[in-house]
Amino acid sequence: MQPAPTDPRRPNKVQRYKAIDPNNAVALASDDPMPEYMNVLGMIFSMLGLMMRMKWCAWAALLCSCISFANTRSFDDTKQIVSSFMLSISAVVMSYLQNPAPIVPPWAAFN
Amino acid sequence: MRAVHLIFLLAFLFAGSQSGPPGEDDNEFAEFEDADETIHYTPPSPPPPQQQNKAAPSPPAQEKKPLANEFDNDEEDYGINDEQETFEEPDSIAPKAQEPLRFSDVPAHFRSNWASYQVEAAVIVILVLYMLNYVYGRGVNQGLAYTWFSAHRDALEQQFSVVGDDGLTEEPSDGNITKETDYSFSIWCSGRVGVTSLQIQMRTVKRQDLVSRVMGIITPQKDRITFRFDLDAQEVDPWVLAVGQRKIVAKQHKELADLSTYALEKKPGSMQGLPASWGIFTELNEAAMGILDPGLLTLLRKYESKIHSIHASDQYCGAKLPDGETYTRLPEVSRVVIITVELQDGGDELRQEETEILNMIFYIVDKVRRFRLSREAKLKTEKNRQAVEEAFMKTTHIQRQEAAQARREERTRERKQRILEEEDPDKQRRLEKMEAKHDRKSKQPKMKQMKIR
Repeated sequence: MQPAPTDPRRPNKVQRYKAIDPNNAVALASDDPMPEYMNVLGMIFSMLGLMMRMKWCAWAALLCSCISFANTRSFDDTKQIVSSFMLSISAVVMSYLQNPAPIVPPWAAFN
Repeated sequence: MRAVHLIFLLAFLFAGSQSGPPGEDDNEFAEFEDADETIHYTPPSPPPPQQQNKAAPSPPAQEKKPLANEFDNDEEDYGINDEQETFEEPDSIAPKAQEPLRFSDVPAHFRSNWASYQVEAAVIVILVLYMLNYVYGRGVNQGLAYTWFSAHRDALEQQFSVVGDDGLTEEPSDGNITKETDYSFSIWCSGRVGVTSLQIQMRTVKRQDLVSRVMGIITPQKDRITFRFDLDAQEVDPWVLAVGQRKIVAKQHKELADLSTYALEKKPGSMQGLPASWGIFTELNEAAMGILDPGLLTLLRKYESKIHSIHASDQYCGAKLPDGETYTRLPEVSRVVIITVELQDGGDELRQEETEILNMIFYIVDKVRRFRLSREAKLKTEKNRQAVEEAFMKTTHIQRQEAAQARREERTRERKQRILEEEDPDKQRRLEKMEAKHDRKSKQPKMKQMKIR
């Protein structure tokens, strides 16, 4: 059945949707680079927390992992996010195993 | 009888001497015995607590001294004197050895000391709040997108034969929203006269990210929805136009390659009958006047704050390259109409307004398709495009020359390599002859040959 003359639809002219290739997502990355920045920052903080035994760095790494997770794209590799979380959690755990003392709060100086 | 009494007395005395102090009886065997066994006065109990040791060195020493005096007279008690000396020495050394010792602060166990972990508790509270906000914000964003789609799906299905294709199934599917991120959603429509495809992209505020929410308090953002129509090649005459809210359009003019290259005429909106807060960037006045008819102008004035920008172009290729970079080849261009509108959540009244805006968008697209430039205008735009192409060719001329030279050298090298690798001597000789002929020809001055017919 032919479509009515005023009907703009053309079923024979359909073009399929092409999903964004995850390997070629450079253009999107430049649009919003937040997840990549937070990933790198999280790794740096984790390394500092593990090697320099700075507890606050380990906690900051965990926060960066969470921010990266919240801003991640659907087609991004989930392995990267999971490994980022694992690294930051291990930094926190290792810092407290080596030295279970709490972080000295900045307001303690005023007490 | 007296002998018996004497024997008994001697025996009694002998037994008594056995039970006396061992030092006297064992003197003969002292050298064979260990020092520890011969001592009966109690040495300081090992290991003594170090604090007690500090207080205690003098009493044991004092105790030992009188005992020592008892045995001084006995010359054979070598072992005991030595032992006393050795016993005095540890006592004299012990206080000195204790001085460098420091007590380290052993922190109390976790469970007995929760109250001191204040910073940790604060960080954990922040993390929990962040994740709660993530779940809530994601839900709100998804709700916005899905509600808009369900409200306007019918209107889209009247215009396109496929609405909401996800590209995954063999046959085109309907009704799918592609979730790119937790704040960005897209709908693909296709199958319309004059339009290859429509991509509707909804970019909401990053409600799922607490950091962005806090930044949003300082620089508020709005949810927006972008309609990108890709038009058929032969549908559109060559011209470029951008009209919309002044700040947004000015930013687009700076960032987009086609607008910055072609749309050089800048006008305030009020000159064209548009709202005063709007601006126009156009390649041709004729195009701006032709598209913006009175009916459209009325609608644009009505929805002045809701419509962000309208961009129609036959040379759209995305963002401009950063300074210092040049294209190695001319970028691929597409014929597009991109309209950005504010996305809101609300009741029936808002949905009616959105329907009106959607109808206006389709009207603009059909107008752009049908609009034909005058002959002079068309010549002008074609000249602009040729000029851009020539400028590109000039800047890349040197690069192309170098590339051609590199290709020629590569071919020569391959030919020579083939000659060397050739095992058959006849073939090798033939190839060498051909190579020599080729070299002679290339060394000759290039002359144009005229063909006489």
